[in-house]
Amino acid sequence: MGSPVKKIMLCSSEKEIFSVEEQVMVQHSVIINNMIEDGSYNHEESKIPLDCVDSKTLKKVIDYCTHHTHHHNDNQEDLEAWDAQFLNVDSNGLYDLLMAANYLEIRNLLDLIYGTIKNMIKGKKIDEIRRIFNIKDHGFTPEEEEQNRKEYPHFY
Amino acid sequence: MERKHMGMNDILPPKLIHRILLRVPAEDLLRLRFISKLWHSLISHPDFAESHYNVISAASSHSHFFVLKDNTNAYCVQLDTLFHVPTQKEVSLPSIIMPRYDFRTIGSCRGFLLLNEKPNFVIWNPVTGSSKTISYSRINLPHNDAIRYGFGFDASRDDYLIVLSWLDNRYNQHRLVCFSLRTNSWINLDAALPKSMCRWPKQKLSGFFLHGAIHWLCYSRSDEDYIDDGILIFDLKERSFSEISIPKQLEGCHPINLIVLGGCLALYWNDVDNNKTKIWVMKEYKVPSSWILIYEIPYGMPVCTSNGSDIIALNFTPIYSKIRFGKYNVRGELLNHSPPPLSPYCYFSFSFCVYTESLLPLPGDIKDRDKKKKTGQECFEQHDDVAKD
Repeated sequence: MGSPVKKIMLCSSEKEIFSVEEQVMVQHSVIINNMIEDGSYNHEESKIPLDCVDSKTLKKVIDYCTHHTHHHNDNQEDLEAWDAQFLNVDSNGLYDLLMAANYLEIRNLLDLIYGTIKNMIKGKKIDEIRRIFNIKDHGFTPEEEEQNRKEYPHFY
Repeated sequence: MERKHMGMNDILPPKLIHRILLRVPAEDLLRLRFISKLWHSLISHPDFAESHYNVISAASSHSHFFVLKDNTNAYCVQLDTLFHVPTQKEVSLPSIIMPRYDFRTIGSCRGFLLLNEKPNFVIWNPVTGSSKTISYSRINLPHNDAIRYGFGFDASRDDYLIVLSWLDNRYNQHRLVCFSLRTNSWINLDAALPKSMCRWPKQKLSGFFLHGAIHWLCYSRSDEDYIDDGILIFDLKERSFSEISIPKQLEGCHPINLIVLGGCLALYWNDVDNNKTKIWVMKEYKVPSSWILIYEIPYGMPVCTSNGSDIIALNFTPIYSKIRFGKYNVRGELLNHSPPPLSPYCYFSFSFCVYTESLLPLPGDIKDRDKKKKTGQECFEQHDDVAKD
């Protein structure tokens, strides 16, 4: 075999260190790819601090990137099934993943999450969407809310 | 606030909510405006409809099929989800329309349908209900119906245009007029047709809008037509004609038809003898060498692509009222059938088109909104990524 697999260190908001194959992150994250390319990451000393990503979320993100690196030749159906299982989390977990994917600029994971949230919204009525996404403080005055409900009863 | 009590609006920054909303179908957005003040301001932002249309049309899985039901109603069928959940929505036509035998759809552009009911055109966005009637009674059109129609958008002038082109037999001259929605007026244009296309058969012809231009198929049905086979292009920005050739293999075949499939020009030939429909796609716009025969499906009419490479087509049965949609892969294998029959489409043969839903307003609507903005009736929260997305 050739040279050992190059690793990089990622540091979560709890200061937990994750060691990941460099190729896995470079392939998926625009930000990490840029850091490696412009030399701002030093393999001897650096770790990449991800202050807004907690350990639980970072672990999932790494899982996603690893799976999609090593299984990109799998058939579409298997990959979709894996993705569906991967995103089987509560809405808070989904928001965390979305923010992490956005921070690290992981395009395919972003598209996957946007698509999932879109499907959760599509065709549903307002009261149901507010419940699913826990939107209690909608910001409308009681008068505005009443007016909207009166004008568009079929929306609620 | 404790995290577990927080909702989407508390956790996600507005720019991420904005990006989610850009992916939601236009029809849902009408309702989502009332989820919260934040969502309302994001969806009502003047740049939102444009960004949304760009995202949705690039995804190319949001095609709708529009077909008249009767004098007052039409069906809008969402093609992509049709095979899982038949979503057939009935919509009322704008009240100005009184469909008669000569009523028909001409085309679609950015979520607007162009309908023709002599002597009026109606531009209509079935999602927002926004519509405009344009009379062409003062234009001296020939009675023989040899008129080319086109409907498109000129991004350089931010203007929607209706194009009419015909041969004036009295003077043996080509005429070209166009209605500009922005100036709300008809203009006479002087653009020379390619020499080989100066004459064309007597048939009503609707053009297809793509890449800022209208496209019409010209092909000879008999020796009397004196025209070369090809696609005639009218560029809405340059206001000039050009032409591109069709695949050699299709010359002499008939009937052939032009459509737009997955953002590319496409031609299909209904090979009646073999009960087959062969679909050619021009992979690179205006590059004739990129014509490629991609699909061979049972006799029918392709309407749009799905999941990138599959194709949705209407299957014909002997009776027009028994049509249904079929989905095929590139090998021409049937993947899915819509439950038959969708409904009796009595006006079917001349009144359908494919469109992408949008929230886009007409130029006139924008003026009204600007007025409102000035008087402070609407306020928008500015999000720096709105224009970028």
